[in-house]
Amino acid sequence: MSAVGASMHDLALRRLARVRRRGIRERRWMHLSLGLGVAMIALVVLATVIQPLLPLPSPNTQNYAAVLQPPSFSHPFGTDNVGRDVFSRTLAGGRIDLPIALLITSMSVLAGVCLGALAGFIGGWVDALIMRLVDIAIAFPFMILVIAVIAIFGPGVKGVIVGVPLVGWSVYARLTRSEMLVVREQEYMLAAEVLGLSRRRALFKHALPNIWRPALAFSMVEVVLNIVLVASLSYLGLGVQPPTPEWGGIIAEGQQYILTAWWISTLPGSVIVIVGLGFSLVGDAAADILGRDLTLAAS
Amino acid sequence: MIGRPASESSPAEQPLLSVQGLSIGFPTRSEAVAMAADEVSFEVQAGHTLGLVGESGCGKSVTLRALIGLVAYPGQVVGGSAKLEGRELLGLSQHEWERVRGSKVAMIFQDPMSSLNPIYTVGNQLCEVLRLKRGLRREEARSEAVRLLDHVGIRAAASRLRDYPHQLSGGMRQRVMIAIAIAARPRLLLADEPTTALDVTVQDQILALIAELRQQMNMGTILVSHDLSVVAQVCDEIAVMYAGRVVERGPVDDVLENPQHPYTEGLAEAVAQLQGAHANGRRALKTLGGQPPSLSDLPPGCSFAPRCRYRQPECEQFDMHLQRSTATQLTACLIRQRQPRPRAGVGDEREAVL
Amino acid sequence: MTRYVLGRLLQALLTLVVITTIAFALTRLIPGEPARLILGPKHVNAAGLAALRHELGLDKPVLTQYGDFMLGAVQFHFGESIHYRQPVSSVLVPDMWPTLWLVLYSCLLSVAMVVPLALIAATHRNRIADHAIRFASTLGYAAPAFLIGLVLILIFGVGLEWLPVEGYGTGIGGHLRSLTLPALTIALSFAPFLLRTLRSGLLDTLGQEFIEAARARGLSARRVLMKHTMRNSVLPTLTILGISLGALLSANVIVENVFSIPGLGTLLVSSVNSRDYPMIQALVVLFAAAVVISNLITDLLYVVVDPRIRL
Repeated sequence: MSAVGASMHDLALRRLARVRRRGIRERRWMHLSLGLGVAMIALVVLATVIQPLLPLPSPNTQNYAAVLQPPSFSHPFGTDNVGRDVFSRTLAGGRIDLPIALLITSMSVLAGVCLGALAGFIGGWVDALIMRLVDIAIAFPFMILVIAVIAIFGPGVKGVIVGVPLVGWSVYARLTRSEMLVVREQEYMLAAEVLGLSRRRALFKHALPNIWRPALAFSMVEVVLNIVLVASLSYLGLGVQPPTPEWGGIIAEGQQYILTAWWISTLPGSVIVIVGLGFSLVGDAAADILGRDLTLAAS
Repeated sequence: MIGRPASESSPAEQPLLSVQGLSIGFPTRSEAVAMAADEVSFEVQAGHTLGLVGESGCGKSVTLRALIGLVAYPGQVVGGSAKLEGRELLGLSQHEWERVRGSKVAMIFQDPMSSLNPIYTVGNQLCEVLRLKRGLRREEARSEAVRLLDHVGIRAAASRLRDYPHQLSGGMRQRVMIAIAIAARPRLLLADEPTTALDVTVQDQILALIAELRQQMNMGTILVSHDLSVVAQVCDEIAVMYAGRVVERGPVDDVLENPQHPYTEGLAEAVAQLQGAHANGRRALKTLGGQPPSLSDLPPGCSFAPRCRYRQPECEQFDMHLQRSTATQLTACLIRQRQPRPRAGVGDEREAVL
Repeated sequence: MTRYVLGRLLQALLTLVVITTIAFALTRLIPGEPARLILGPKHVNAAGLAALRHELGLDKPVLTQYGDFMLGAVQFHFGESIHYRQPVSSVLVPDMWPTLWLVLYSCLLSVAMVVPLALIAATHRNRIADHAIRFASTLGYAAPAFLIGLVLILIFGVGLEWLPVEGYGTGIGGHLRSLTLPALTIALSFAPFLLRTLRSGLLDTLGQEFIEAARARGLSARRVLMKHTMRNSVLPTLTILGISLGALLSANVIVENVFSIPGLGTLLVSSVNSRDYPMIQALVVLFAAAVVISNLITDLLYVVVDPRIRL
């Protein structure tokens, strides 16, 4: 090998080693971000759960001696215009927002996976009917429908809980149906049929366990959207009503004082971002593990 | 037989392309580097065709890509030299490669459907090369494009310029690809399985076209194929690759009639068995027992040894270097380097000659 | 081709009918008596109730009511607003303009933001730039639009005092200045979706054989990216843009309220709060129709623009 060749050889080997290290770093980074996401969710969930036990003023206790106090040791997030502790209210708000978001997400997942599996498994007119409904639900502007449902029940949580799953199931149905179409043709499904297992047993025992994973991974991403949605509706005054502490509501109240007391709106907001980031990181890692971009598969 | 130039025509003093010890590595999960091409050497004369054959994954495509600077990430050329008309290609900068590609070295791909951009017309993509690589103005490029399409055997060329790739048949698309490849008058044409994706009837036409253009333009050509019958039709020289190594090299007739390496022998026998019936290279190669080894986990010594019927214990120490085994052939086989395989029928006399 | 277009038209029409039916059902699904709810507990008296029932057409058989409603919807005639005591359309039409401009402005901003970022992310796949861009987009995804709006108000409106933080301004320049922060807010909360799509579209295209073939012809890296990769990936992204009008409108409803812009989003929220049912019905139908029609146009445009689709 010539002298030129030898130096090129070294260079190339160094480059190859770098590529290898980068690959290792990628995998490590993926695990790190999964861990980070879980930690962020756990931190916020834990704090909201143990909020009543913390040495903080109760979320609705007004203290006119300490209004619009900036963040301090005794009031980590400061106080609002009537002297309520914003940190305490934020944690209490989590006990409203997070369960609602989880509830509406799991309702959507459950309905969507069942209908999608059914459409893919049975086919024929059932499939056609369900998929036509999916088309309509997906074409519907989500937020507008939820607001329309809220208009029926009046402002409050009920409208959100009914409205979101009404449209939300469609994405999961589409995801699950395409998974089911793949699974249905697999050997083990045929084997189950050959063994004379009933269709229902084949569906529940053999097909469902194999198709729920993409839906679950995507639901991680959607929890974020639903947290944001619940907070947004309450911010607009259409969701959870004051004085119940709720993230969107706290931020809306704080907006009036944004010029003098920036902390009332932005600090609770940062908690929303932390939870959202946590679920997004977990969702991305889950999608990575499944090896595809589910956001695209769903759209 | 398709118009093949007489291989006895006197070779130029300096080969058009001279590849020496080309090695291409890919990183693996462990510290080791998988060598997709290992110490590959060959030469191509102007106006001649070299056939590069072997099973899929043997390193023939990646070798071809190294010659046009397009080894897929994360692969790297880790050593060797490739001189085109005396100029070193390996180690060129990105910018230098952009000037070499198209005008010195061009390439035709396996699937003409996926190698043309589906959203631009044929004329757009052909004129693009003419304008950028040959500096033609818009109108000149257009008339030259018509001339080129006509030249590669596309009828009503002028009206075809406005067609999108999906409106053409597979054979037509490959003709367009060829027109684009020769548009900037390259010295070396690389063809990666150019007929594999085409109908059998069209295959011969495309091969004939490549052969004709090579003669007219005095280009050197490298044809990568897994199909020995294709190689036998159009090539002057042949290099057989196995697990990243060239295991046998020589004039195509000599190698196919008197294969020295046991792997080549297996390939040639398989083709002979299938000839007359549907001689399908892919199937022919399968008749060799066993699987090629994984590049990241090569057996010690000769990597073909586990599948070889002449295997000896010493083969596990053999470093697979090429050595002259007949007057015209180079072989990387310990057994053959000690005792060449006699030519069938007339073998005994030939052996005495050597 | 014709079959596809007709089928697609039929589907859009069906969706519109379903949506209008839902809008009709709105007032019939209210628990309790709608007229009583609308009037509120203070003003209930028998004569007023009967008058309102008559006004809303609630004293007719349901099928007749439905027929009347659908007929009215086709002419975009939804009766009189209960809150404003004016025909719905005369309240609604002036409020359309701020919303329309805001949607266009934010579309423009998000595309201007997303295209260069996606190009950088795709060409530096799994490198630091890519990670940074993806992290920023995850951040934008997790932050509610109203929070982004508040932060922008704090920075540009209150801190730097560059831009107005509420209202619609007067004159074209005033509108443009007033809508800048709201449009930026919508763009920032919408861009992550678009970025994700465009990035994976670009990566997908970059992996295609015709890209390698274009490079093998000696085209420069820049030309391969801009001519051969970009246009192939822009088409799917435009589709996503068209399909995501619903998401954009949702962000629009929130952001209009954050910045007190007199648009349809503000009108919708105030109508829900004042139980102005004719107005809510009109807005639901209008928003939904906008989304359905933009989906339809996107699908049809795609057929026209992409030479591969000739059905």
